[in-house]
Amino acid sequence: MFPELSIERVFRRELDSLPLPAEQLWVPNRRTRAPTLIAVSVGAAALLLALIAADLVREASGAAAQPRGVASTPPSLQPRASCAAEPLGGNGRCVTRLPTIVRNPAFGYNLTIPGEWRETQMPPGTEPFVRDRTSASPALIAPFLLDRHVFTARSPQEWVLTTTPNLAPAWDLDIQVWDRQGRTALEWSRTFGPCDPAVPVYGTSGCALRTETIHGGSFVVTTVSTFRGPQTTSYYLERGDQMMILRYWSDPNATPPPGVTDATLEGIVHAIGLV
Amino acid sequence: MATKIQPERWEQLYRQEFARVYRALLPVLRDPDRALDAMQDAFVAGLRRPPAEDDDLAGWLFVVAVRSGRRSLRRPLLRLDHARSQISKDEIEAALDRMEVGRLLAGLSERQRAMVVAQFYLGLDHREIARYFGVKTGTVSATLSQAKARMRAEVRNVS
Repeated sequence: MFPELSIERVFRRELDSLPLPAEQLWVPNRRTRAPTLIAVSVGAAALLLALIAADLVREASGAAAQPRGVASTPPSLQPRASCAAEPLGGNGRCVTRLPTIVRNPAFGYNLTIPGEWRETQMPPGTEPFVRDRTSASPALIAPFLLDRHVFTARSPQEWVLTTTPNLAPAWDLDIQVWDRQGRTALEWSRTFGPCDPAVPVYGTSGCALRTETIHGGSFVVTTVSTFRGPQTTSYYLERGDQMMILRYWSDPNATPPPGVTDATLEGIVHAIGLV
Repeated sequence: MATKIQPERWEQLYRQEFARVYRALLPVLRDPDRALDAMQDAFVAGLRRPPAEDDDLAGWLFVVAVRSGRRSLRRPLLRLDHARSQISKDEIEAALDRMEVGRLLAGLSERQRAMVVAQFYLGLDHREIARYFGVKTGTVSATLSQAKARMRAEVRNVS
């Protein structure tokens, strides 16, 4: 006979000695109380998730030194306070969706996107390219493209209408990981648009180049502007044998999704977690 | 008809039961971060579809969390540093390896571990385990019987 009574005691004694996580990681934290049962349910879940999401975002934005708290989400990533998108709450109240954490373990990054955003699939045949360098050697086109994800705030129906041949549509975020083929971030940055001073490009107003450190990663950042036209911002980061590129373009001639601005895109990029 | 737990009551019960259920999950999932994620999933599941007032709350939370933990094994977990439970997986595994319980459970499948912990730590009977896991009582009996046989063999090996 198995000594069940003594086994129960052993289980209790031993398992009760296992450590617990810090309370702020699991205690539900309610800040407001909605009047209806549904609102209470949703509110409590949202608060719990907000606590986690706010913490995640704070970490991703490199603000780990700040005091721990319930809501220290960087302003650029906080859910919008206004109902720029359709209101979700009852009685016309604005209920914003929580940010979403997108994890890419294979290529070592986390992304925090606003709740209204989602990942979208570029149609087949729309491989990203390195502008003006499609025949460059070593090749800077697929199959050296290792990974690509495009994120948008548009609905699937709206998004289809904005598809472009190679670039993700304006106001979307395009994250690519390439085999960097021995090239530095600076060299990669020169392969896009007029950023290579050796190549004359017409019809553009130029390329501004700078470096930026985001969470310990040293990015080369280029901004390609056209006169009264689109502006494309690209972040290049060397990671071992890989080159990570985060790219978005804003176009004054293309209506952005509600609430999306340059600052939104910049905020998402700056909240990237590198692991 | 059993009444469903109201959200505020659910939150209170979750706080009460967290420690016990989280500790029950550790030897099953053997990963503090997955256990924490699984607990949070179970809390949210309870807000959406609250269990009945007369349910064993610890048992309900445990089984929902085990299911969530099992699902999470199929998807990669890449967690930002400070959202971790601050207890490392290695730390938990080392603690379990030092414990008699850890050694007894080590040779069992995850399902067997879950049912053994449900019985011996959370104090659920076969009928309750069957109900929460959504299986027949006979299945629970058979699973636990096999698990106990393995655990007995482990005890014999040690002694």
